[in-house]
Amino acid sequence: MSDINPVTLEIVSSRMDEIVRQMQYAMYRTGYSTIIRESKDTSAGVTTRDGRLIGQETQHPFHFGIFVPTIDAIYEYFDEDEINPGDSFTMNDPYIGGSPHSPDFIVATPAFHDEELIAWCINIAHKPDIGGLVPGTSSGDARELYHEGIQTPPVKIRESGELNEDILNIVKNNSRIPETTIGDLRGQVGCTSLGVEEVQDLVETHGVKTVSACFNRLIESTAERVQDQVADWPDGVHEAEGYLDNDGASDDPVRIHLEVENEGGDLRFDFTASDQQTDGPVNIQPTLVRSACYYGLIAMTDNTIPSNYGLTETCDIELQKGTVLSPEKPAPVNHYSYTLYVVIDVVLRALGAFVPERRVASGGGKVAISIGGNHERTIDGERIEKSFVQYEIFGSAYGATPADDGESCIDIHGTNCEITPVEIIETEFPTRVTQFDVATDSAGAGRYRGGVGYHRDYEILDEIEYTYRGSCHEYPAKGVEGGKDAITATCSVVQDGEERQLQTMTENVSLEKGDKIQITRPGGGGYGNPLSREPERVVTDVQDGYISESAAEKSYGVSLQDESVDQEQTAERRDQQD
Amino acid sequence: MTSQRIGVDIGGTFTDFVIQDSDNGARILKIPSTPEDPSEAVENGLQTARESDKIDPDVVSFFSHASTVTTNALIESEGAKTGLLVTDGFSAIYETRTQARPAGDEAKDITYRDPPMLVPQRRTKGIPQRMDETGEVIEPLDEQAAEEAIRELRDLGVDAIAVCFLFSFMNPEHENRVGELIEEIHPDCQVALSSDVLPQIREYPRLSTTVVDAYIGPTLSDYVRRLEERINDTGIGTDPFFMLSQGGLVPFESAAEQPVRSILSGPAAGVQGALYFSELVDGSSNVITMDMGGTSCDTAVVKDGEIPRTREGSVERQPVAVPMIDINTIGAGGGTIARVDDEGRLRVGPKSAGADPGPICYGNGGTEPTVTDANVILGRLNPNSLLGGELSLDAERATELLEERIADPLGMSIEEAAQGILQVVNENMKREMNLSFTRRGYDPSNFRLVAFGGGGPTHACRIAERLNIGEVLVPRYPGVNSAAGLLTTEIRHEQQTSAVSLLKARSKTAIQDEFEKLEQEVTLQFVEEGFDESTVQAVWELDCRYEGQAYELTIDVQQGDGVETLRRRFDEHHKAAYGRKSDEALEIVNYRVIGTVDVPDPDLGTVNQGATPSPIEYRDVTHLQTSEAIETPIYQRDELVSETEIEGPAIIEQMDTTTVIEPDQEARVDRYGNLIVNTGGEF
Repeated sequence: MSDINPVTLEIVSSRMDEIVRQMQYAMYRTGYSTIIRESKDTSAGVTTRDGRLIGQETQHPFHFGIFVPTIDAIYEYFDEDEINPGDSFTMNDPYIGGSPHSPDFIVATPAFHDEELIAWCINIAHKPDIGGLVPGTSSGDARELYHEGIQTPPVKIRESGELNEDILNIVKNNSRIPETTIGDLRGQVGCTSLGVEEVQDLVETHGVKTVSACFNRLIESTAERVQDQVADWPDGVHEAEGYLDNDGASDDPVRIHLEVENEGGDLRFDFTASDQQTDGPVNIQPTLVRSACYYGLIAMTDNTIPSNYGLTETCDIELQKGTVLSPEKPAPVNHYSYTLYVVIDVVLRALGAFVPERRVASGGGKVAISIGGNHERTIDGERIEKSFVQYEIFGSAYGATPADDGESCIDIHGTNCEITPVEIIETEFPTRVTQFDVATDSAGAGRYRGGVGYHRDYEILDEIEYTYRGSCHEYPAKGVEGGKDAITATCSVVQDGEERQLQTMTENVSLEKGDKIQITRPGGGGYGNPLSREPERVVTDVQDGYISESAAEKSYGVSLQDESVDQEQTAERRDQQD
Repeated sequence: MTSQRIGVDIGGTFTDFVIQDSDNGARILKIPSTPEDPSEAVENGLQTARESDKIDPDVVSFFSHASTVTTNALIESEGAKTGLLVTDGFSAIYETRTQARPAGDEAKDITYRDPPMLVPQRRTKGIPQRMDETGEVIEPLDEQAAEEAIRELRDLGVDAIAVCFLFSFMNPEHENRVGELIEEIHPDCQVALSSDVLPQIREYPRLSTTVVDAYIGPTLSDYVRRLEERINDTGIGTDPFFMLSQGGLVPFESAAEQPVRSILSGPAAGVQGALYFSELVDGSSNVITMDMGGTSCDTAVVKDGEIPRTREGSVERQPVAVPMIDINTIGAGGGTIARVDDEGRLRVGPKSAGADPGPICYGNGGTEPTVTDANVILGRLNPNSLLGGELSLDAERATELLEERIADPLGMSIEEAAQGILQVVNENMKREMNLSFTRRGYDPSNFRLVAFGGGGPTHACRIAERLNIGEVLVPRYPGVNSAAGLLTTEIRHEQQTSAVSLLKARSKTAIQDEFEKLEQEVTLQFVEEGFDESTVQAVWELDCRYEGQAYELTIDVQQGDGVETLRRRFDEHHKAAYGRKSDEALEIVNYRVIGTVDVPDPDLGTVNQGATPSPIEYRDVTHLQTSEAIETPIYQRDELVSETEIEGPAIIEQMDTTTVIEPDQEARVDRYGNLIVNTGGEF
C-alpha cells in the first residue's frame, strides 16, 4: 500500500469502473439479438495480462469466473509473439476457456503499451443460436458436447485490425439466426476494442508501473475486505445439500453436497461428495462453481465489495474430477445454469450457518424457453417469411431475509435478465401471451415470506418447436428458521385441448396453432415461523393477491373478517397451530 | 414601451427570479423557498420585487416557471392514492418491472428490493379486454367489469386512476371508453390513459409512466391552480408558462394535463440557460452542462444545440419514459463526505452532509470532512465567509478534523489530503461526464463546459482539463441559471404515434399522411392556447431501427422525403452513432411531430467596458497540481468589465459561487458579463 499514492489508486479505480461501463454500454447499444437488446445477457471486464480480473460491470455476477480460463486458453493456443495489437480472439468451447456453455461466445482483445501486453478487455455475450439439436442451441436432449452446436477453440477473429471473415463465415454457417449472431459477435469486437483504447490511455497517463501496482492493490483490497469479515466468523463445519430435479436423461435427482469448514478465517469449500457427472446436460464447469462460492462470500459479507480476482484468494475450493461440478469432456453442459442455482443455494445455506444475521431463505430458480420456427407475417401487405427464435428467461423471486420479505417476480442470483415485453413478443413472434399474473400462494410462508412468482401463459399461433428448461419442479425453494418452502415450478402444454405437465426439467415439444403453454414461476422460501408474521401484513397480502384467504388461515393462522384481522379467531387459531 | 419578462425557478433552498426589463437589463432576486406551499415563495418574491420597483405588473409580458413539486411528491411518497386498471390477467407487468436488478452492487445483493410500487396490487384491477398487435380487438371491453372496478377503486378512496391496456398505443378505443366511465363514476378523479400519456410500444415503461402521471397529477393540478391565483393576485395579467422535463414551455393548463412531463422542470431550465449563454458568447452550441450543488451534480450533453432527450429516464428509480432532458445526476456535491475506510482507502461520496449539518466549516455540527471543507482548507474557497459574507466559516475546525480523519490515517499532509479529496471527487465527476459523451459517441474536446450552481465553477476548470475540454463558461448569474433559462425556452408541444412497420413497405404518401395528421393535432393545440397558427414551426421525426435491433434512432423527416432518402439518412445516422450501418431491413417504430413557437431573445444586459480591475486581495491557495501554496489574486465578479483578462491561477468570488481558474489557464469576460476560461485543452 505504502508505495502507491492513495489518490492515484482511487483515480485508477474510478477509471476502471469507467472503462468497463463504457464497454458494457457499447455492447447494449449495438447488440442485435433479443438476448442482448432486451435481456442484456452480456458482461464486460478488464483483466491483467495474466487474466486476473480487475473490473467487471456486474450485470451477471457469475460471469465473474470466465476470465482466467479464457486468458489461459489463449496462451495455450497462441505463443506470445502471435498476440499482437489489433488482434481479437474468440472462443466458446466450455472445456477450453471460460465459456459456461457454447452459446456464450467470448471475445478477448489485448491492450498494449510500448509493444508490451498489459491487459485484456473481454466480453461475453449469449448468442441466439449456434446450431445444435434445437433452435436456440441448448437442448435437454444433448448427451455430449457435440450436440451443443459449434465448438470453437481460441481463434483470431481479428488480426492486425482486420476482421477474419473466414471465422465469421464458419459461425454464420452454423447458426440458424446468422445475421444476429454475427452482428452480436462484431459488436463484441467493437466493445473490447473500445476498452483497449481506454486502458492504453490510462497507462499513458499514469505509467505502466503505477497502473500495475494499482491493479494489484485493487485485487488485494477485495481479498482483504472479505477476509477481514470472515475472520470474525466462528470456527466450525457446516454442510448443506441440494438437489436438481434431474439431468433430463433420467428421472433421478442430482445431488449437490457442500461442506464448509472455517478454521480461524481459512475457509475450505468441499464439494467432492456431489454426484457423478450426468448424461444429461446439467454438468457445470468448475469456474462457475467457484464463482458461486465467491458470490456467496460477498453476499454474506458485503455486497459492495468489487468482484475481482482477489476473491479467489479468500477460500479453497475442492472439486472432484468426473463429478457434475467438474465434468470431463465431452459431457454436455448447456443446462448448467440450473445446477448453478443449486450450487449457489447450498453455498448460501452452508455459509448462513456461520452468519445467522445474514442468513436468507432460498430463491426460486429460473427457466428459459425458446420458441422457434419459420413464421410468415404480413406487414403492410408484404408477406415476409423468416426463421425466428423467441428466447426468454424467466426469473422467480428472492427468499425472505431476517428483516423483510423477499423481492417478487425477479431474476435472481446467477442471472439478471430483463423480461421480454409482451408487446415485443406479439409484434415479432407467432405467439400470444394470454396471462402474466402474480402467482398467489407461490411463496414460502414465514414471519417474512418469500417473494411471489408469476404465471406466464401463451397461445401458439403457428407451428413451432418449443423448448422448456426449468428447475425446482421437484425441489422447491427452501425456507429457513421455521419459514416454509415455496411451491414448485410447473410448465404444462395444452395440445388438442389436452393438458400435460412437462415432467422432466427439460423438454422439447412440437406445437401447433391453438396449442397452449402454461408456466408458473415459484416464489422464494420464507424466513421464521409464519405464525409470528404480523396479522396486518397477512391481511395486506391477501388484499394484494400474494396469498389466498385460505392460506392466511392455514399457513399463517390469520382469520379475516371484512378484509381485516379477526383478532379473536386469529389468536385462537395461532394458539392451536403453534 | 417598457416590457418585463420574468423567469422563476423553485429550488430546495431558494426560489430564484430573473426579471428582464426592456429598458434596464436583468435583475435577479433570491427568496427563501417555502416547501410547505412552494407557490408562497413565488408570491413573496413578486411582492418584494414590486415593492422595490423591480416589477411593474402592468408591463409583465411573459412569465415562465419551473418547479420540482412533482419530483418532490415522488421523493417524499406524497402523491395521490392511485388505482390501476390493466388488461385482465396481466397483474404481473408492474410487479415484475424489468425483472432485472440494476447492474452493479445491487445485482449481488441477496436482500435486493425493487423501488416501491406506486400502486399496490390491492388497487390494481384486471379488466377483460384485449387487442392484438395490429390494434384489432380480439376481446371486447367488458364495460360492466370496468364499471365495477372503478367503483371499487372509488370506494377505496383513490384520487387518481391509471389505465394501461396492452397495445392501446395501436388502438386507444378501450382506454378511451374506460376514461369516459371513470369520468361518469368518479368525476373528481385524476385519469391517466397510457395511450395519451405515452402511446408507444413496450408495456412496462408505458405502464410505469402512466402510473407516475396519475400519482403526481393531483399534486400538480393543485399547485398550478394555487400558483396561478397568486400570480393573478399580484396583478400580473399575462398567461404563465410552465417548463416541462423535455425542455419546452407550455401554458399552465397544458402542464396540468400531462403531469408526468413536468417532472424534471428545473434541471431542464438549467440546461436551456447554459445553452443560451454559450450561444450568446460565440454561437457555439456544443456544451456539457455542470450544475453542482450541495449533494449532487447534474450534467447534460448538448450537441449542435439539440437538447438531449431520453425516453429511458427515471425519477426516484421509477421509470418515466416520456421524453425528458437527459440529465445525469452524479453523487458529488459540496457536502459530499470524504472518509478513510477500514482498509485505508480514501473514499469520497456518495454520502453527503447535505445542507444540514453540512460541511464542518459551516459550524452547524458537521464532523465529517466534505468537499467544501477541502476547498476551504486549500484556500480555493474564501476561508472566512461565503454567500457574500452571509455565511461565516470555521476553517480551523475543518482543518483539525480533516487532519485527524483523513490526513493522519493516510500518512499525508493536510494539504495533500485535501487535494486528494478534490482529485477523487473531480475524477468521479469526470468519469460520469465522460461516460455521457462515449455513450453517444461524442468527443469531449468538441464541447464547451458550462458551469453553474454553487459548486460547478469551483471544480469545472480542472475537470474540463481532464476531459480535454478547451473552454469553461461561467454565466454572469450562475446561481440563477435555471431561472434565466426560463426566459430563453421556446413553447413546445409534441405528438407521436407508435406503429411498427417496415419502412420499405410504406409509401411516401402513407408516411406523409401520418405526419400531417400529427402536425394538425399539434397545431390545433397551439391554436387552442391562443397562438397564431403561422407562428408554429413543426419538425417531423421518425424513430427507426434495423429490424430486430432494440434501440431506435431518431431521424428528421422533411416534407417530400421518400423511403430511400429516409433509409439513407438512417444509415448515415447509425454510422455516426455506432460506427457502422447494416443491410437489415429498417423498421419504423414511432412518428413524432414537435411544434414550437419561439419566444423573443432575452436581453439580460451587458457589462461596461474598461480596464481589467485589480484583485480585491491576494490569498495563499494550494492548487491541485502544485505542492506549495501560491499567492493567488482574488477578484470580485461584479467588478469584472467587458474584455477583462485574467491569468490563472486566480479566484473569482461572487455572491453565489466561486470560480477557480487553475494555474496556466486564462480567462476573459465578454460584453454580456460571461466569464470564459481557456483551459489549455482543445476546442
